[in-house]
Amino acid sequence: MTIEELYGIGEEFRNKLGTFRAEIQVCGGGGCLAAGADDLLKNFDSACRQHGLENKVRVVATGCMGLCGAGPLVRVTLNDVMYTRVTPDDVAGIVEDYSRKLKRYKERLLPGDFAFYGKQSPVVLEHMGHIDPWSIEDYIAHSGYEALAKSVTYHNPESVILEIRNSGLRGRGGGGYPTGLKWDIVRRGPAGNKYIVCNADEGDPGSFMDRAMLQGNPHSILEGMAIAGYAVGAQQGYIYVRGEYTRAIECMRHAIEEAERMRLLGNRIFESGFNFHVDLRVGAGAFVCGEETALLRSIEGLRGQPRPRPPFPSQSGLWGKPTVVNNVETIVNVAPIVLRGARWFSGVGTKGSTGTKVIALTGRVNNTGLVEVPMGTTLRTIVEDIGGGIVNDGICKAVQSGGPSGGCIPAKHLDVSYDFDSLSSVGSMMGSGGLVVMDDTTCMVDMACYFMDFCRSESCGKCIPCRVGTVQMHRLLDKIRRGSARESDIETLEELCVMIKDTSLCGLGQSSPNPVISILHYFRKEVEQHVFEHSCPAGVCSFEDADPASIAPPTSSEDISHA
Amino acid sequence: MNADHNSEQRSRHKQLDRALTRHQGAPDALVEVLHTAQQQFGYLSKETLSYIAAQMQLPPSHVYGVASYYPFFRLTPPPEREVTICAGTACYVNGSSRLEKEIRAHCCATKDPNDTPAADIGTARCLGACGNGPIVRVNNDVLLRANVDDVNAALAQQEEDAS
Repeated sequence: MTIEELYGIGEEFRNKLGTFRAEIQVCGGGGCLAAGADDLLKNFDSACRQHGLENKVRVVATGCMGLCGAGPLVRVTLNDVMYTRVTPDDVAGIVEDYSRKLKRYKERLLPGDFAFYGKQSPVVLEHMGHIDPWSIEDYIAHSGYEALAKSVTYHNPESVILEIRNSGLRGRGGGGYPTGLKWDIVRRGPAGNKYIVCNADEGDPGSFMDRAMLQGNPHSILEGMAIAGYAVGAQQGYIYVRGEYTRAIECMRHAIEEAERMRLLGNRIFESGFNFHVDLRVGAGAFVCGEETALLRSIEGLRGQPRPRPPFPSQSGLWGKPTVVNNVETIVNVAPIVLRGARWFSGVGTKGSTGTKVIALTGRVNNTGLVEVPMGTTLRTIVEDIGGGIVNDGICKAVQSGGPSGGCIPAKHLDVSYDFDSLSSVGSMMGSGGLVVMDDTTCMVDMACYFMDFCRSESCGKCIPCRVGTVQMHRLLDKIRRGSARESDIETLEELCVMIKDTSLCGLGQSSPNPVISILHYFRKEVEQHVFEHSCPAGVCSFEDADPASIAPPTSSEDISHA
Repeated sequence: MNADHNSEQRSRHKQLDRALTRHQGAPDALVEVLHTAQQQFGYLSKETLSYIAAQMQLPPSHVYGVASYYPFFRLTPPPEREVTICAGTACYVNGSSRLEKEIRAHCCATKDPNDTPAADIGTARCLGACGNGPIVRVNNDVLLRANVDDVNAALAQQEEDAS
């Protein structure tokens, strides 16, 4: 394969697409599949056949289109219209409308100026939801593998690293470490085997961007990894995927085969001296394996338990060799940077956090799904404009960012901008990009208890502060929830937060008190109401262990109905 | 029937052996091999683990240690019917813990064969369809914005399809 041949394949596929008058794209994201997208695809296929349109309309299952809460989603490219919550009954109407150019089928039509899409600026998700993830040609037709071709043909590894460094790209998995710097360390490491590892062990409950990318645009991950391999001098890459993501694994396996078949992976890529192979490793349900040292052990076939850092994986990683461990989103950012340049990338976002961020927006907002915004967008824009506000016209109480390692940000801080530094300044973190919106039906004590329950059961047990501390914290929070806590329990809780944060071995333990710290800081009054008055403003806690004589009747505890 | 069963077992063993050969007994492939074994047999029995240990020339304690560390690996046969409630943050905020209580109280409560079929009820960390919570998985069917009636209906439907 040469660069000319690559362009040729892209051209050919674009010509083939040009013979169609339109595409009917059915979203194949996790939410839409669960809502019946697979059947819908068959229905569209047969409806088009019925109207004799099989050569005029391309019916295709794409990756995630983003608006997951309103699935199954369907896009018709002719007028660039989208339909939401499509049922098999709508198929005939949509196809008929198209074939006779009626523009009459208004049911389930998404308004063209819908703010959910209007406020986004996709880079990482640019082609996802538009291309067929099972077709390498479709990816190539959208300038796929062009960045890899240009890198190995025209640039030396140092200049690729320089470009990434200048772009200011920081790790999207939570750490926020400068990617270019990490690559540079690995490049300068002792000669010999080096490895690229893509961390796709997405474990944060409430995050699904990695899954969406794995099964929505798998080649963008392979291309990014290959560029990383070229830059640091690695010949082998591993993708560590969460075992629960069956479809993503299938899709990724297929993508690797296709890329090998086209010699975009393997030996002498683009007729250069650069060889790169990618293997898939399937995780087995341990959250802690998202921590890089634990992940590497798991790839080595061992129990995935973390080890102290330093040495960092960039110095001594897989089998003791220098290893780049990058999150999926970080890797997908690489090709656009190589193609469009560091200056373009650093022009997006803020000074300290360049580029965009993919956010999994969930919880009590009207529009839930995957969104991508420039860094520095305010939380208010994300919740009120993109998210369309709170369900049932409710009031936002808090947003939780960063999964079980992040914190709860109260509504008064909604004007904080979404970037690495601003989120830390209000006691939270970006994490992998989960954003759960809470309204007044959410009890913060209950939430703290929930997160601590998560950390407690996911603690690997290697270090004592995390193994024992999280159990103790959960017990205290549960006491508060059940109405048997005293004032001293809050103090103990605070002491434990500091202790666990300072003395745990890995990121999971160190960050596990974060939700509790933020809740004690911003929602102390609510916690104290639980302890002293046995009342839960959200009406969630039942205070079953409270002394009946002292219990105040809980306000509006009668079954808060959830829509 | 019995012959069928035996040949099926043999083909499963063959798949496992193929995975063992593919990795040529490289110790770092243990997790991969365990995945293959679980895919073939549904769970990892003591016999399976001993077999893998012998083939990969690893101490059985090491193989058991790795298999029991990861929640994804089952060391006991999977239940016939399974109801899994997503306990991810997004589902939790949308009431999954209340739903879990309701399901435990009102679904599959009876083992009477004439009544709603019994099933194992459990929770999962995140089923990855966070935009549509609360999510419940009934065997292989994923229910979005689920309630108790949906779960019962899905169980009944599956029972009907099976018979």
